[in-house]
Amino acid sequence: MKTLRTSKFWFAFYTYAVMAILIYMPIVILITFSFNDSTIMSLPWSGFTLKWYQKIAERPDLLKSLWNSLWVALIVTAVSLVLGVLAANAMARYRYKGRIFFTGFVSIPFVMPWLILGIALLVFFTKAGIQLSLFTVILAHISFDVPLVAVLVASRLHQFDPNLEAAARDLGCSPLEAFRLVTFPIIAPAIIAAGILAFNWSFDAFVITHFVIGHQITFPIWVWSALRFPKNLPIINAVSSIIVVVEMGLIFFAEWIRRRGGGEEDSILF
Amino acid sequence: MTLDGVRQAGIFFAKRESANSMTASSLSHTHRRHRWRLTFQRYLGLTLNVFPPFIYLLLLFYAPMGMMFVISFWKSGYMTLEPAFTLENYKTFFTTPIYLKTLYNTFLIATGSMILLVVIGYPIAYYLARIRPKYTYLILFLLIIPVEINFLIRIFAWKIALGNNGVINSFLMQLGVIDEPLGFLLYSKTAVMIVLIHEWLPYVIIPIFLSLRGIPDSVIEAARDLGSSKYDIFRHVLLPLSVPGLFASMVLVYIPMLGEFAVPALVGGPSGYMLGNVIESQFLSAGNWGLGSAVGFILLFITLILVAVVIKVAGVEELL
Repeated sequence: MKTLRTSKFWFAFYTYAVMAILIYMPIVILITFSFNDSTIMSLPWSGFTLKWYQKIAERPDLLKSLWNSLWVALIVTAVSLVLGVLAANAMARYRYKGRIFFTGFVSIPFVMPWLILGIALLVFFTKAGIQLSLFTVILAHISFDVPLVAVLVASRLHQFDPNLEAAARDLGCSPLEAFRLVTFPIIAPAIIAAGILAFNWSFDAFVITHFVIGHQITFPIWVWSALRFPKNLPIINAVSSIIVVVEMGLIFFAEWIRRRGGGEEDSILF
Repeated sequence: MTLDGVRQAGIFFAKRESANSMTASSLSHTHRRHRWRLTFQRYLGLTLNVFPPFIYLLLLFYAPMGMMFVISFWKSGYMTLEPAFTLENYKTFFTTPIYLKTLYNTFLIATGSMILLVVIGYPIAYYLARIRPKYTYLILFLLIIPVEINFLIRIFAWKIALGNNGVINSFLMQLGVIDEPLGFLLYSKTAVMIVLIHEWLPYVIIPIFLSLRGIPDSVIEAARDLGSSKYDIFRHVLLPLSVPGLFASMVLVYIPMLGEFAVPALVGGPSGYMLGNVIESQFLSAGNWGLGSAVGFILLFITLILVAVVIKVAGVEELL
């Protein structure tokens, strides 16, 4: 028994050590150095400052990129939710020939390297004569977010008892009413969680965006170009820290919604 | 008979009856119309659900993919692209030493990272599967949070940590462990692998954890009762039973790692150059789209083979 307990201790120690060093260390360093009074990010510590946070407001390009990312992500999320929930319905709630095919059809973009999707869409938009802009970014993001939403919502729908909806239909609901009054409230937590993930993904998407954005900017594109100039680094640091905190808030919110929906077993990612 | 048994029997008879009534010609006109309406509504519902996402993905995923495939066979040079069937692009890729070296590098980095990920992640997954669920979900949650933080920002954070004047080097030098900075920490294959491991660790842990959690305690107890040592239990019980999760996690991380380009571009330096960087530069600076598409398709081909193997082994249903 004693040996079991010691081995458990070492497993716990190992787990927390790996998480601290490999997963959290860079994030802690990032936030710490956003308060460092120097453009060179190394020890020794040069003193506490908030000036990098003040400088964020002096960068119109940065603010514009954040604003662009925000509304692009909102449109992408709205469209992806509609198309993704439809796809999830077709994947989980109907039995028909070609269901496996459709499931594969919808899921493949989800496992495709983003780089490949990015270049394929670049080729497509150019050949189709569509000017690269934030509009093409939106179209590209939806191609990835629809499978994301579909896979997440379908996994919730698989657990859903179809008899509930059949009962609603027997009691005189139209198909739309049955969906709105019975199915939707049950899958709503999965839809909200999927929506938050889709939003997050679109807001952070760099690889696909990099290829289809043309001359406009979104936040990740701003970070990418700012990384080339050392004097920008502390500002990237400061704005990243703010975003880290906001995103963690969003995740906690998503998790809270999920738990309220009673999803103890499935995580928001799987 | 248990209550459940009664219900089962009820369902069975109801089904048989409905099967009979379907074929019965004595079905009244209104009944038949009602049934027809239900079938029609079902098909209408299915169609409305299938077509919008189907058409969207067909137009904005499958058509671009097809186009990329076609263009990879076109005659292509700097900023030029002519429709003509040629294998020139593939030939260029497979006969240029620097590209082959990059292909080798890509596999080395992706495979090395994957092996390290599994070695590092398996004990954590094992630990998560054996503690109380309350703590399991807390730790899983802590693992997932950083995944949601912008990925460029996290690469940038590693740059601060790993550089010659970076936090790790300055810290070790102040402690007196080393006299001069460890140069291999940044702009090297090591740096790319460290960042990739950071990025994908949660994705490796979760599927392995799920398959380990599915193993009933009774199986492990039986092995122990029959005199197996801890190592034997791991080697002959846990490991074989966790193979599906292990396999899923390996493919889940291997595919995106093969197509990586931001990580090597930011922390890889010349020695950490990967296929993704070749593709990116062909499209965005060298202007040779045909070659870029060909390299992209080679990558895609490898990816599709991997996906096909997984579907063959695990089945589409299990992946979802």
